[in-house]
Amino acid sequence: MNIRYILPFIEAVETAFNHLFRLQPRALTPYLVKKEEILDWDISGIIGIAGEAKGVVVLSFPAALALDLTTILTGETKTAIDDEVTDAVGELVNIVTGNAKKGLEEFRLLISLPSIVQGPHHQITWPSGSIPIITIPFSTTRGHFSLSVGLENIITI
Amino acid sequence: MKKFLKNVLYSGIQNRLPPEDQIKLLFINSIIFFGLAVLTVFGARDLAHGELWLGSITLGIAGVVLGLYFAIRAAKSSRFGVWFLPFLMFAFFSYLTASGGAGSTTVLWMLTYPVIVVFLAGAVPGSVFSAAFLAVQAVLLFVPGLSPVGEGAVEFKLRLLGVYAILFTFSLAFETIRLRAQKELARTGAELAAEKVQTDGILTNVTEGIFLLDPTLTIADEHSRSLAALLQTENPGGKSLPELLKGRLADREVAAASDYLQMFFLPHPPSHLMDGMNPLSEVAMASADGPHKHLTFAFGPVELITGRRVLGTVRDVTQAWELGQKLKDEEDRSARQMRHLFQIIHVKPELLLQFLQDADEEISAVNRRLKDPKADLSTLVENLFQGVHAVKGNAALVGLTSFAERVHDLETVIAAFRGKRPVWQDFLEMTVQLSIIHAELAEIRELLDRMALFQRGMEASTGGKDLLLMALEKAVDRLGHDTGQTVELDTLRFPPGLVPDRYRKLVKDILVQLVRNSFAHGFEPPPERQALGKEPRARIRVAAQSGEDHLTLTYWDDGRGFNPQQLRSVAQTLPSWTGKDPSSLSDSQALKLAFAPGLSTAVAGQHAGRGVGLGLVKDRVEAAGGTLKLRSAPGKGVAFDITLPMP
Repeated sequence: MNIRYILPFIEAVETAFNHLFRLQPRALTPYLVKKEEILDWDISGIIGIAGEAKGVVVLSFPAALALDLTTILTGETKTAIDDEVTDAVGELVNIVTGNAKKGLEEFRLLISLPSIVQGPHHQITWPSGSIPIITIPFSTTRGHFSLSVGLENIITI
Repeated sequence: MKKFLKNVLYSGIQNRLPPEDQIKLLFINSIIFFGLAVLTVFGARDLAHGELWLGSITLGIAGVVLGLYFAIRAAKSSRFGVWFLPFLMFAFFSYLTASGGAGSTTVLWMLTYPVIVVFLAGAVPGSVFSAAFLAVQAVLLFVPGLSPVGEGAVEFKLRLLGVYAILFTFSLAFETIRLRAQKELARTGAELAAEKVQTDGILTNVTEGIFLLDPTLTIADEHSRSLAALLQTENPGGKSLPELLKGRLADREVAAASDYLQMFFLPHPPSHLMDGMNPLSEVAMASADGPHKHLTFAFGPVELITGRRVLGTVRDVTQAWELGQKLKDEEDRSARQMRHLFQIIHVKPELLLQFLQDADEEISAVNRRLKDPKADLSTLVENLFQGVHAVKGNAALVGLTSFAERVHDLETVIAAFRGKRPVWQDFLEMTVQLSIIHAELAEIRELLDRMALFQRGMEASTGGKDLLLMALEKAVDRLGHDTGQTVELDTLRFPPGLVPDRYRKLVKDILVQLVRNSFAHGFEPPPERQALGKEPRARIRVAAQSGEDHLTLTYWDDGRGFNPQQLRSVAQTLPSWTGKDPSSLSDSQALKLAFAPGLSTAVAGQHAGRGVGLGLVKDRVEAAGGTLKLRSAPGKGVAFDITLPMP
């Protein structure tokens, strides 16, 4: 796992939150995640990566924050996760992926379209084999969310 | 003005005609203008002299000539003039012969006819025109009464016709030679053009960069199109190859390439050695937008008419390189697994399992601290470092040296962040490193699981022996083996099973660090020991005693002890002592420096020198609510007394 693959995602998250919600997310100390660990989140967007590194990048939100963000975007007050909330999170993850792509142009990486999973305490299936996974928690005035990265270097530069 | 003249002379259709027809058109138009001028002047003069008939005809012909000019412009074709002019001149020159003109000299115009006609109409039609014209002139000259020219002077007429015949013959000969030469030229031209099409086709479509270098190492203008993309330069032609490479390759490589290429221009280059010496046979070239390109250059001399040149080819081998790199990474990985595997089978299974469990606990503990949002960042770096250090120490002691080496490398990365105020990005880097260690531990575990499939008796019993003591023995053995020091370990007063399970790891970590400390700093080499009157074989003694509410551990070695003076002087180099003077410390105060984080009297290596060991011991003992005491007898040895609370 190369830190240079991760930084563009962090920047993209910060930019997207700033533009869409006028929020300044603050990155906290990152920590390790075990493969079998079940995340304490309600909705996640998963972006697949292939090329000189392979793995996934996951953006996870608790329900409350996802509802809040959807409310900001649509103007409608949301109380439960429905299709609209899933769409809003999907759109957000799309924008983050799009922004991150620009920062990753110098690498030979292929980036998939994001897919959304939801449900309380859902589990992410990380790529097989022993790959390093870390989570970067973000705090905003409206709650926490996190960016998890599980990447394996295929080619070391 | 120039444009206007050109337009007039070429009837505005210059670009639509082949070169030969352009010349003809220019000639026709020149004759037209010249003729127009001459005819107008002569016509006007004839009229002035009262020769009304001749004057009107001359002016009439001038009108026809002018008409011809506009007809050519209107028809946008010179063919019209090419065929019309011979007839017109035929008629006009015949008239001049018949009329004789002033002083009967106009007859001389007839001599120009074959030259003009052969040029305009070509050899065969020109011959027909010329022959017919000759016949008509002969009739006009020799039939009496038809022409006033040379009345009675037969010789004059014959010579006139003779000159005409010679001019005609030469015009014909010249035209034939011209036609043949032109045909030859056209054929060579066509061949060259066909070859050029092929060469261009090759140079445009070949994926390799092909180019020629002259003695100044300048790239010739004719090169394959791919060269521009490969060298990332719009027009490489005319530029110096070393100049183009500058900044994209290392300066050293560019200089070597320049020297190498110049060798081709020596009178006798050592051709059999040249290929092997090529410094550009595989290079990674920096690229403005994206990762390095891997290129391979090949060079060879070619002899051209203009002198010797170097023919160069360059190919992009990035994909092949990546594939090779991937393969190499895969190989490294299997080699690493193989080494792990090899070392694992030499480690006692229970020790290995213990190690994995301990390492996991160690990393989990660090991870819990990382997850704590209120953690102090500087302490966090120290935690992280101590955690990694402990894993490294345990790995080295249990015999997983290759893994320990890997952890040592990562530890070095983390070490760089110690002592400075870490920022958030530093933690990202450190956490990434930690996650890599974690993943490698998982790799070892996977290997073990696979091995367990083969041999199910893996979780063998401990055979009644205390695991703690086994770990200690192992540590002493290994360190003794690595340092060449023989050490006797006395565990007689360390009863098995005395240390409760919850202290097992703590006590093991403490003892392992102390053993490492003894080897790194305490023990003198055997000859020195003998000189001091000590046994060449060093000794370590451990003892444990449980009281009512505490557990006492004693660790003792017979090394050189701590040197307060050395501790003082090393402390001066620590950032925490900047501006303070440790030399005023008393000996017992100086001894406490041994526990200061970052302080070490040895050079960093696998077993010592990070200045972590004793700091780690002190931190952990204090974290467990215990106390630590150090007694040192310079030249005789050190003793550590550790007391841990018992519930």
